[in-house]
Amino acid sequence: MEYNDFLSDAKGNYKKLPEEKSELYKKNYIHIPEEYVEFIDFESNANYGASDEFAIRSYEKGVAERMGIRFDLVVGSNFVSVPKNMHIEILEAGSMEKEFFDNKLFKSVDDKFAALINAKTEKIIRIKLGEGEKENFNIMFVNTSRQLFSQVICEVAEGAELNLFEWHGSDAQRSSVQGIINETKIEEMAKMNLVVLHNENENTAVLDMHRGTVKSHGSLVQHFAYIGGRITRARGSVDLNGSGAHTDNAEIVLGTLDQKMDICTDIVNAAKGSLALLDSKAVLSDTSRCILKGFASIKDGAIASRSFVHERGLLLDNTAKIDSIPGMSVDEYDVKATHSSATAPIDEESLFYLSSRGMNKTQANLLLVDGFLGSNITKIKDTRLVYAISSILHDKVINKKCGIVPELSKEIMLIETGNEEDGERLLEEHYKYR
Amino acid sequence: MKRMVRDCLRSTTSIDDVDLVDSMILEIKNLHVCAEDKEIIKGIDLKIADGEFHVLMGPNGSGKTTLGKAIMGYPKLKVTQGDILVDGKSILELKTDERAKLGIFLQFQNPVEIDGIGFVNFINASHGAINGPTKDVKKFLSEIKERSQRLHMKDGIQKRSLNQGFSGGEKKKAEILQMGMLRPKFAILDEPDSGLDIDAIKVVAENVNEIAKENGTGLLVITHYSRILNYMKPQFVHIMSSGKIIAEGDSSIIKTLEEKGYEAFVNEG
Ligand SMILES: Nc1ncnc2c1ncn2[C@@H]1O[C@H](COP(=O)(O)OP(=O)(O)OP(=O)(O)O)[C@@H](O)[C@H]1O
Ligand SMILES: [Mg+2]
Repeated sequence: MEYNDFLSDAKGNYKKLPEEKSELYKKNYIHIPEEYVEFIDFESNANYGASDEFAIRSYEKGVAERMGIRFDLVVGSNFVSVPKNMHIEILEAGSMEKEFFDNKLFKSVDDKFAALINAKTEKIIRIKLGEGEKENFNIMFVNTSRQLFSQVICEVAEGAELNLFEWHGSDAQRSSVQGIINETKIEEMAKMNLVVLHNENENTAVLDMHRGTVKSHGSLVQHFAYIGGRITRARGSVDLNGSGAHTDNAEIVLGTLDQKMDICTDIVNAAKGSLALLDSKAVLSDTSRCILKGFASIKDGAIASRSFVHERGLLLDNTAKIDSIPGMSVDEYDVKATHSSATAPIDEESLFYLSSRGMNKTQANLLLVDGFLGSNITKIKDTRLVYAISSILHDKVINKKCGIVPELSKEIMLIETGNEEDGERLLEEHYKYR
Repeated sequence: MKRMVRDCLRSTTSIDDVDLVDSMILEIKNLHVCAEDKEIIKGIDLKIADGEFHVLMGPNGSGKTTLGKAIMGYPKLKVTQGDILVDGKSILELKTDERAKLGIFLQFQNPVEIDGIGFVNFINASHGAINGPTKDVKKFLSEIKERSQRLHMKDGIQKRSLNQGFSGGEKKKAEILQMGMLRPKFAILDEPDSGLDIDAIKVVAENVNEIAKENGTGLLVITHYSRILNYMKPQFVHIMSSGKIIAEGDSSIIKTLEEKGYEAFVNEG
């Protein structure tokens, strides 16, 4: 497909497709209201308004100063910085060859909002690691106007290892949208750790699409933190295509006030001896709402493969609501698969217990959030990110507002991981960072 | 018997007459408490000064746990009459966490289990709320370790989720460990001995004694059995039945209780 065809296919599908294409979830999805998308101009590409480099750079500076995170690439509304590493390329969608579009993992026909992002991304970020190479990158996406659409294509060659962190922020002053497509291809024996933090503000609708394919003995470990944005719609999938391929997906959601989150993740075991894990945890307070959908499929021929889906929710207020919908389809006999879901409001007896130990509601909530989400955060290898995400969570539990870049939490976090090594590492590094 | 006890209280306390600078008093005055419109505590008077050791006994369902929870401000209970005072000031308007910050500690008869909350994290949060943020993490952790050793707690228990999968005895010990870390002025211990084996009762009693001595804690220990009192020497014993204190005295009344059961007191009261 040539670019022009790709573009008109994308526009056509965005107009034509329903918000939820999957028969399974037709009744369980969150609608993206018109106000977040009505201003998008499909006729012209000059739709970003003036570049706002100053605002973007000062946001970046804030994150660097407060959280100590430096970025190799900063992407903003109508702005892309010069990458600090040659492995990061900025591609002009308009000048890409037919093959590029044919190989894309997200086709516009797949999903209405994938089509939207396909139609509106002019500059595509590609990270390519050659055989055996190892790199760590941090990329910031910050929406300072009404829209920011980005795509990150990662290609990790045999035996290579890529650690990628994406910070998604926004300080949009009016209803706005931030869309991201992550497409990841992991070759034999290659590894990727992807950490995606959504910390957009309350004016922003977040559209997160991610898809990965993993070949034989490759590994894709992903952490998604859905903390910001007024409305979040996430659609992710991982296909384990090669024998012994592995994926481990940890998702956390913290909803406050009237945030709405609709998170759907599919894991597919299509090859022998593959292992897929999905662990989603959501904590909701106030009148926030979340739909957690996790689906595991084990395809015919994927003998001796294993698949585990866990979804858990904790309600801090009885006005919050969560629907967790785990699903599974198994075509093969010789497999091990479990899925489970549980959500519970925090009971009065537990709250009394915590308050009898001196904690007010906020302090109790902090402890509950740390405890409930902690195991999915402390698994992140880069301790700096563990502290950054925990600090954002703490600030949000206390102040409720989303999109804030707080100071690193001064409070000592004795994060317990159930794993002594991790615990000690975190404790030690705690001294380094504070 | 009641009159005799009052006299006894007066003579030993003598606090009433002395100028109290550093001492604190927890005072329960004609307390009536309802749960779901049913009166459970029906007029109780009790006065605990710091450093004092009181024991509360009484048949099942007499309202002992309810009294402890009412002192701590359990939201489902309603005080319909009377007052609870600390140093002469009513605490009825204070929320549970504010009462804890005043230095009141309740050891739960059935501590709740909360999945995901690490035990050490929990103690840290609690300690932070009551005594201010932990400044020296290593010292804090080694104090937890040392106290858990003194309580003969199994290693590694600190790494688990709050009370989760703790045996009955471990739960009680974990409560006493918290008491040690939080250094309360008043501690209400609701059956610290039930579910403990014989050796553990001794260990728990010794630890409670030590902690109370370190901090000058006023103790109200609720128990069904006199065994724990082999290792602890209460100055005051109160017998409760159907929401009322029916008898009070020094530890000698435990002997009467052992011999004749609650019947003896119910008839007298
Ligand atoms: N929230 C409540 N609602 C209704 N009734 C209650 C409530 N809490 C306690 N009660 C009742 O009050 C009475 C006293 O209960 P409490 O737990 O205080 O007794 P106790 O003296 O501690 O007994 P035990 O020795 O068995 O622990 C019981 O009849 C109990 O059922
Ligand atoms: Mg009781």
